[in-house]
Amino acid sequence: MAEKIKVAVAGNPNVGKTTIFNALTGSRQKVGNWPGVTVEKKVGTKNHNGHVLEIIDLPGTYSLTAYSADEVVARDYILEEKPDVVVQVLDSTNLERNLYLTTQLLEMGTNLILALNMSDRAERRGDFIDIQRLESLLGVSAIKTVAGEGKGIDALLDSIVAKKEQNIPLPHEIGYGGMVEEKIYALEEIIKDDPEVFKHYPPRWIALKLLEGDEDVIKKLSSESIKGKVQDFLSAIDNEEYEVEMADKRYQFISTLMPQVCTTCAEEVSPSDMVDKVVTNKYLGIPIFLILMWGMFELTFAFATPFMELIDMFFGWLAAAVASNIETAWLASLLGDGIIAGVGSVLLFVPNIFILFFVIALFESSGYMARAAFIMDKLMYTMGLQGKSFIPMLMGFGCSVPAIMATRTLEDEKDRLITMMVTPFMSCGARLPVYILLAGTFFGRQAGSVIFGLYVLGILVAIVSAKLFRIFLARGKPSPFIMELPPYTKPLLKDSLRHMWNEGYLYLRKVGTVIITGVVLIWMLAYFPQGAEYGSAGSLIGSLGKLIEPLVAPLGFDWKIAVALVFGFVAKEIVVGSLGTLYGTGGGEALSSALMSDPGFTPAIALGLMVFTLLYVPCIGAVAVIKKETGSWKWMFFQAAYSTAVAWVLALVTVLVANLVL
Amino acid sequence: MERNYSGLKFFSLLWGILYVVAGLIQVGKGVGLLPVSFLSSSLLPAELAGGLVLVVIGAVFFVAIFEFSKDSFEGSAYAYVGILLCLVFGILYFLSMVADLINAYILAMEGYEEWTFVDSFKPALYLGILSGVVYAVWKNRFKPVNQGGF
Repeated sequence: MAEKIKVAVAGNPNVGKTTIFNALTGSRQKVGNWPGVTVEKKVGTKNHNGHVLEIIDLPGTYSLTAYSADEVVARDYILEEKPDVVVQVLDSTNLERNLYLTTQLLEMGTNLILALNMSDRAERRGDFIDIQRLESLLGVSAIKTVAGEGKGIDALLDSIVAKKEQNIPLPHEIGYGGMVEEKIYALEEIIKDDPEVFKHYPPRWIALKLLEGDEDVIKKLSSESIKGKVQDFLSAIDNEEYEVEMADKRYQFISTLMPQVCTTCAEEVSPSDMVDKVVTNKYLGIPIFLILMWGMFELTFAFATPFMELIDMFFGWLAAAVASNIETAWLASLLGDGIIAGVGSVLLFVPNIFILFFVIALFESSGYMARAAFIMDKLMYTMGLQGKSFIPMLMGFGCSVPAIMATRTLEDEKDRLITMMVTPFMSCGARLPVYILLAGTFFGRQAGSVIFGLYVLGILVAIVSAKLFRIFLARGKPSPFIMELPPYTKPLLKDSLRHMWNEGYLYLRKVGTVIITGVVLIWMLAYFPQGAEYGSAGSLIGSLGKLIEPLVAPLGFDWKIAVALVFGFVAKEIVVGSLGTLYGTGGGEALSSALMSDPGFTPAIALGLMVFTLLYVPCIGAVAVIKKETGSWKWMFFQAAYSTAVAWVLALVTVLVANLVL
Repeated sequence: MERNYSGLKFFSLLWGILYVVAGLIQVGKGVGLLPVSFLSSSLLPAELAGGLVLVVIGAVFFVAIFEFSKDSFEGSAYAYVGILLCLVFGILYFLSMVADLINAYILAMEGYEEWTFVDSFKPALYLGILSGVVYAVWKNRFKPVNQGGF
């Protein structure tokens, strides 16, 4: 009976791996799942020149580090099953990127054949790949293929059989430089006393993976005492630093190799690559992200002012028309002081909301938001979250409700819970009217910067809270961030306008439902009992305010602010409407003037109120979604209590500091 | 294809200096280290955040010079993104100027009685306009090129 040859087919996603597998195996394939995971497993057989080939199609991966189930499956198959030959399928038109996986397969000591697929496309493009040179430099076999047309498949089968006859090569070593090599040597010294590991795996490879912080590899150590020694050794170093250094060295190796095997197929540097090089720079990435965010809020504030003025003028005229034409006092008050003033004070901010969402849409559709998540990943990971969590958090700039629902994209339950708990700290669009009113009133031309500072504060509180939750509530490490960055595209004006309208429409719809209900309720509380002055301390709303005032008095907030904050739990926009009602002015310039002339409403108090509004319990809709998504009253109450406590403390600090500085 | 980057090198150096100096002056005035009237209170206003924006853009140009000094073509990527940032913030300040113009002359808003064009003519705007001219002249220098990737 002919000897069976075990062949594994590996490669990056979308390189034609499955087409090669199908061409190699014909119709003799079985499909199932890998044991214990839902990753698809395809196995086929092929008789060739008297040999029986058992061919297995590994999941498509960019590397063999244990980040995802696909990578673990691919790596463990090669390590545990020890196939006789590994065929790596590469996209010939994108050789440089595909060679990263090649370096990892070489380091594992696999008997490797490179199938340079799509070679026809590369040739049409004018690329000439020197196969012999590639083979001699890497010590592997290489075959040009065009899998769709079956070209090169017979040569590949011949090569597999020939390769089986050869001895398995020694693992290929990439020099990682003094600092890394020293640590690799030290780890090899520790693990050499584990005979099981030495028998099954290349020791240098094990040391490399340990140095990269691959926890899956630690589990492969059979001796508890060696595990302990390894963990002690690793706890004294920064794995991430070594991981980055090693990835850099692999890419350096590839960039040295490329010009020697192909002088014509260097990748074209597109404007997208140029932008990426800069905006993802280790040192410049975050400052560039911050200045772009600042620009967004500056524009939101500055360019909206004329439109706000027009809306304010319209509602002022409408309120005056109602007051002069309706003789029934309570109806005139309901329409003028309640509905027109309340709704007007909220509609005033429609231009800001529209501009903000338009700019966010521009960032999203251009592809920059994906970079923002990438840039923030390292910081997020350090603080207990993964870069992917940044996407729901960014959505939180719009509205917390869909943002909390978007955490469903996170695979890890702990990552998801923490992200849900901290997402409401990202300042949603509903808080913007409060900032614009207060920052515009008390900080004039610096208003845009103050608003930007509040958004940054929200991000910082979210990140610090995530760290605390990771330490005390959901221990463990966040999942690594894996995301392919889409190329930059010219943002489509039509799509951005549609996105702007959709988000703005939600705001308008809320004005028509929740906010009208809220302002009518506030009007009733301010109007009754009859005889009391409208919105005064003697009215129902005054009594309610006085009752809760002691809770916020240490912050310097009076009963009017206390009432506004209570109603803000329904929807944050109502904070502005409530102040308009309580000061008897409606919104706009009249409210600004009233606030400025109130001796109890200083710039420090305004800043403290903005901080409190940013951080305290999110609106009722967001709280309900947290309950629904966590399935737990406990987490819902915890989030509400924690956020309110954080808001109270930070608002107090803000007021105290601002009193000294301003 | 070999390209001559000497013009871009000089431009990056000049723009790096202009942006960082203008930015630091604005920051200095913003935090009170320099008097508001230093050089010009209208053309170089006291503006902490706006000044920091200029410093970051200037830093991008300085990294471009650093990359060029290593004979790396990557310097052109930094110069390219630097110019894009100049344009983005130039447009932002232009829109702010338009808004101020409407507030002052059409809506006659309170607080805009004394407003003149010079009040909105900030470094990010005039340097942004100049950057736009440079980009229009040199845009072919940033066209895709086979350079071996990053």
